[in-house]
Amino acid sequence: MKHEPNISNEEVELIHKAQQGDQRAFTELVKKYESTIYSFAFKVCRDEEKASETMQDTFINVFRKLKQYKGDAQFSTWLYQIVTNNCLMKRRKNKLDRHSVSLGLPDDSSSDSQSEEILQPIHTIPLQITPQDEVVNNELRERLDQAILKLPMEQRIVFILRDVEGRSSEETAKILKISVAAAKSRLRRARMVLQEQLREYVTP
Amino acid sequence: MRTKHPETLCCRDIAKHVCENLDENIDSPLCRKIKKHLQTCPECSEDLSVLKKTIELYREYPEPILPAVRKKNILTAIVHAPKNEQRKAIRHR
Repeated sequence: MKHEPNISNEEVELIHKAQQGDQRAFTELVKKYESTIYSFAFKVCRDEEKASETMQDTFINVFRKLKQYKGDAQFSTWLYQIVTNNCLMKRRKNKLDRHSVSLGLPDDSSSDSQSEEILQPIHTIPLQITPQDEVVNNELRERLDQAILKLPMEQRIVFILRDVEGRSSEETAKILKISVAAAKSRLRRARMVLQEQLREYVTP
Repeated sequence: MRTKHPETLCCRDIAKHVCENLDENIDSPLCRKIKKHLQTCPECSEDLSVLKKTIELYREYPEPILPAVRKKNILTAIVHAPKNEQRKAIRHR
């Protein structure tokens, strides 16, 4: 395995051991990255159940593919490639499920997939705040969730990687296996949609 | 009303370039033109502040906490997943 400069020696050793089948080393890797992966999955799908499923699928894939990791990219970049792929796969699967269910429904129920996603229940996160803040915060979180769910998944992922998690255009492009220009273009479109969705709310 | 600045950039160009260069080099000739436009165009200036505030709100969104039961379930699922695959493979022979 090549030694990627941003990976610590301890992590290289841990990955190497896990690749050799050391279950304890693999468990350590899971513990190290589970919150990161869950957090990212939640930011993308805004749903606790879907985020948990995505995280679980991601680590199953990591377990199966770990030997394919050669150390030529940061381990976190490689993990993000897997989790973003799972988010996109889940979205496609949901579309197929909805399509098969909608076959027997009357025409007026077949609205577009993005609108349907907004109608799904949004799970909120328990916060330790005062009751007075709670209403405002809940309303704001709901607005943010609804606005981001209007974005196509590809744009949503780019927005989260770039603007929320602060990753570079180059790393975002590498994670999604697209060109830097395509990543910038998706980010621009995502920002414009969110800006319009939230304009009323953020303008004093 | 939105203005056009023929010698510099129009508002549509500003929206495009501001989005692409929000966190990038602010000393390039293009960014200097953008800054100049923003100083004289209240609409574009407001757009930029709405965009910055929007991004800030998403950054401030509380970090979700992974429930303990989920942590336990991941390892169980991982340990059992390959075995399930093996069983499937045997069944399909």
